[in-house]
Amino acid sequence: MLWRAVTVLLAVVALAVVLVAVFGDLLVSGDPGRIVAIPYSPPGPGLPLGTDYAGRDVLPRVLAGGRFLVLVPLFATALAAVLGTALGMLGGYLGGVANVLTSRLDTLMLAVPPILVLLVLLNGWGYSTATLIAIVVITGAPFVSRVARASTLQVMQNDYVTQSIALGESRLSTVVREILPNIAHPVLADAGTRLAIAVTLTASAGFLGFGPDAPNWGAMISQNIEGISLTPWGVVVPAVLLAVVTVSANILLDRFAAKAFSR
Amino acid sequence: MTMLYYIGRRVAAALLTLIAVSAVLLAASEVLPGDAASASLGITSTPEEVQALRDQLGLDRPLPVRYVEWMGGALRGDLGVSIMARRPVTEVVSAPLADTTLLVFLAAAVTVPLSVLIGVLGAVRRGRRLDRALTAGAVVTVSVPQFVMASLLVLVFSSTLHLLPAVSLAPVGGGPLDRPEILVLPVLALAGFATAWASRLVRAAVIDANAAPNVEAARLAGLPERVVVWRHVLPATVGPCVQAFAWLISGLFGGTAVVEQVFNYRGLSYVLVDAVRNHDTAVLEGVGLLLATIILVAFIIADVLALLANPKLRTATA
Amino acid sequence: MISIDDLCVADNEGRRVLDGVHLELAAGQRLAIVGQTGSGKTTLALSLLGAVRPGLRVVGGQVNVARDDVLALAPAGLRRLRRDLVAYVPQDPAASLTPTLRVYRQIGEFAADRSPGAVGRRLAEVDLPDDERFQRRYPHQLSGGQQRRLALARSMARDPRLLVLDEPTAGLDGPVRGRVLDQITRLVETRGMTLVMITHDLHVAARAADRILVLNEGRVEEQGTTSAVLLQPEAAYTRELLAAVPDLSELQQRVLVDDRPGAAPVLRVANLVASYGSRAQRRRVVDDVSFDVAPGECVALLGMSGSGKTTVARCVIGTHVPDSGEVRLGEQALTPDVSRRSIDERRRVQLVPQDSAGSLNPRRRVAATITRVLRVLRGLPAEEAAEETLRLLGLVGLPARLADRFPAELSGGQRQRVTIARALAAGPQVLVCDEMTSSLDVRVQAAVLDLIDGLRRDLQLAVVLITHDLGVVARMADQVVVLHEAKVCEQGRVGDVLGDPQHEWTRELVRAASVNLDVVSRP
Repeated sequence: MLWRAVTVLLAVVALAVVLVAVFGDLLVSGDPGRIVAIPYSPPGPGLPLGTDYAGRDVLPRVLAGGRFLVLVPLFATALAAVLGTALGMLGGYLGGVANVLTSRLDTLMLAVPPILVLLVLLNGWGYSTATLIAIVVITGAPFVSRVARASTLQVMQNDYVTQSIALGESRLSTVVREILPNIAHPVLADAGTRLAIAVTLTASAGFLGFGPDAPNWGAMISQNIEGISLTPWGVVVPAVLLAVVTVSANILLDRFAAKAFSR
Repeated sequence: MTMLYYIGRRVAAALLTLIAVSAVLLAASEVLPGDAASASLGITSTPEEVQALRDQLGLDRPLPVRYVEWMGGALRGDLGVSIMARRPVTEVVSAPLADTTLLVFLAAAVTVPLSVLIGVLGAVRRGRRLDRALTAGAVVTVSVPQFVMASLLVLVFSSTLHLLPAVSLAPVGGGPLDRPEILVLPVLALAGFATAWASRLVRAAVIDANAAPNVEAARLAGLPERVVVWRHVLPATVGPCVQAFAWLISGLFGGTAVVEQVFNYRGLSYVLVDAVRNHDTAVLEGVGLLLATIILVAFIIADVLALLANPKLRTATA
Repeated sequence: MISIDDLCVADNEGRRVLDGVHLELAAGQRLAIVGQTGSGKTTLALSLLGAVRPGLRVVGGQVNVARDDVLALAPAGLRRLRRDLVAYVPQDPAASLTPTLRVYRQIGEFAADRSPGAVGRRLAEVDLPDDERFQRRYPHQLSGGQQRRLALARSMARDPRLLVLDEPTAGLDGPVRGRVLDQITRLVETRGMTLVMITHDLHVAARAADRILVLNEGRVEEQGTTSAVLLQPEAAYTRELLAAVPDLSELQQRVLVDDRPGAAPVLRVANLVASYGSRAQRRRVVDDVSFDVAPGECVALLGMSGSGKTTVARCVIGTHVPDSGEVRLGEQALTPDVSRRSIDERRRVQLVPQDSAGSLNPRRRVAATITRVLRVLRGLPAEEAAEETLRLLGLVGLPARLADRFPAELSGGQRQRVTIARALAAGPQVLVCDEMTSSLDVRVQAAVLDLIDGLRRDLQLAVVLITHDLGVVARMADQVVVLHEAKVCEQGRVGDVLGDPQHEWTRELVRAASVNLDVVSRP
């Protein structure tokens, strides 16, 4: 009973944070870039969270700084999941050379830390939303593909796949009707982790100082950390919100996957 | 004999991977050619000046040609010249690389024993309160971005408790080891994440091994629990664990890129971020190549260790 | 030696897995615990070692082995019991060997005397090589049979007084099974040990045990001497079990139909040759196999594992492409590769697979599985397909309420019926049944065999029955093709082949199967 209450409470908090992240900037009136007081002012009247390193109000920047970090990873992770699943199933179903090629491609991408991919592509392509999406897809899809390929190879051992052609199905419908529903669980079970990592990567770009000077939780942390002993709120609030988003992305998707496939 | 063959195959595969990684690296970091030259000269430069520098750097020659030259140089220990510093890349990177590697190895030294301890503990107490608490802690720790974790560590241990320095700058003319206390928080930030991640894999490996029929048979044969665990359970976990620890090296190097920034630790992160900001592509490519090499070597070592721990692979005759 | 009194074991939901089990066994006796899957026989055997599987708990009763009250023993006492008194060999003995330990360690871990000579003697006892080189091998360097014997030697290393074997012949068939049983009996007899073995197979019990205990859903149906239980069974369940076991003698009770003159064969397999593996390791698994099947006729392909019989089935279905030879359906030759066959060709040949669980998509309901075939292969409109699905379920004896279930929610026998209904949905002329009953309990097996037999007559289906079980052949087949090491060693009418086998291998098979239940004559 107590556990249930705690779970519900956590879910409510997570939901509230995600709502703030996505719709927070609707609550902001005026320009969050306006300088209102001296840098690193502690909270006071009219400035509930104090000011940041440039003397800007922290609260509107917090409200406006999360949307990008939720929507871009969400879209990019979905893209990575679709591409990775397709690639993994292709390798697993066709086997032979296709299997070797896709698995080589995966290990190739897995050998490189994602953050290095981020830096290389920011250098090569310049900062843009498209670049960030590409980074998440390139670093995430190999993980998805690996899971999908391994599950496909396992599912292929079953007679219902080998028999499906004899029962009148085409190759395509075998993949879509027989294999896909049976690898969806492992792929989804992994999706929470992928989404959390995507949020982290997207925020890392801001944290490392790339991108426009628009409000961004990742950037706020690095910008304000030097004044943390003067006023911690410019670091703590975005840090905690970011942590809640990543943790709940991971746990909620896990729960969802477990629920959807509980049979 | 067959083992050497197996190791040889792994090394060959790693070399191929390295060649592929480096090619992708070169191609991806230079999709916008020319920028390197104009970025280096600044916005006031004339097109003629930019062209002159492009010629000097050889940026107009086809990519494959430059790739071969670059790899040829790399084999001789020459990674090109940094446009910004106007010094060889190897010279620019060597000190920061050493400092970052120090951080990674310290973090690994903390992570490996700790994650084995936590993982085995969780597996032994599977489903009990301790295991559930460890699991929840690990999921949270793994999900939180490392720079967030690092910032919160600064808040707690520096600005609130005043126990440790918030900034990890080495003394002038010295290295980080001259002031070891500056290493504590960065290593903690790296190891926290890594331990949470690796302990999950250790736990899974131990649970797997413990559920194997040979372990049940050993228990039903009346062997003492100590013998069952050491002789029948743990040998089967060596393979998966060393593989996990190889991944760890890759993950830790990735982690340093953000953690160093939080603590102002002058390692590779600053070199890399400056390189991207200034379009100093040669530095970026050089560091990328070095890191990929280190990670692949870690993978090979893990493969060999896993091989030694598995008699089936060790004695294979094909 | 053993005395079990009113033993009750329940699972987490409180369901009784064992319910009031009594058992007395004197030293030196050999007991077979006979029961179907889920009857609680492994739980009963493990209780002799004071072990209970996770999820189960003892709710009452007592187990005494020698002078120990097993269930009340402290961990140290339990270890002593398992070390010195009772040895257990699990169902898959090869998996019980820790892969990182060499042969001498596997034995030496238990033996009081660890010298190479002592280990060698233990190995020799179970007909394993005893030289130094063999002792330095790892389990994976041994053959399956050697692993099995090593596990036996390992359990004997402490000279236990009671040996507990879980399905000692699982996965073995024909003459090999007989040899394993003989070896076990010999070892137990020379050492004067007490034996408890679990089996689902009454033949095995008849051959190796002097007492039988019949277990059904956690309750003891009957126990007594082997000959009493088999020849004068008292419990209705035992009689049913005995009647369901297919055995050779049924041949005499059947009215065998002679060759049907005039019936043209619907399926002709001619000079089939098939192999597996890539160039260097290519191995021929089917070598020149030919047979015909007429409508309403049942042809059995009989062979042990590795004889190539399943590959023949695959070639007929089209999931394996033969090297040469052809499969003709009526007048026309079938394209070897199923994905190149026309929808109609696919429709006319259907498979009932060995593993019904693996051949049903776990994420699709029963009705959807069958309806899909009706839509794709027969082109029925949705409404008609739904009706036909219910008719087919009825035809194979499944209630309509199961239509909305997922495969995991069905029993093994029900799943097998679904695969039959699915095959029938195609409206086939030829039904290929690949060891379809090997994973089923005898009673369910008998019902499924009856179903196929009825369908064959009613629908004039040509049935190709693939099996290793001579009893099944005797019950079902008109013609039999005996396969041995990829070749046909004998084929003809079932009465001729099994009644008067000509080939040496067929004779050995018939001999191995003839240790049937009627000839139990030991005291």
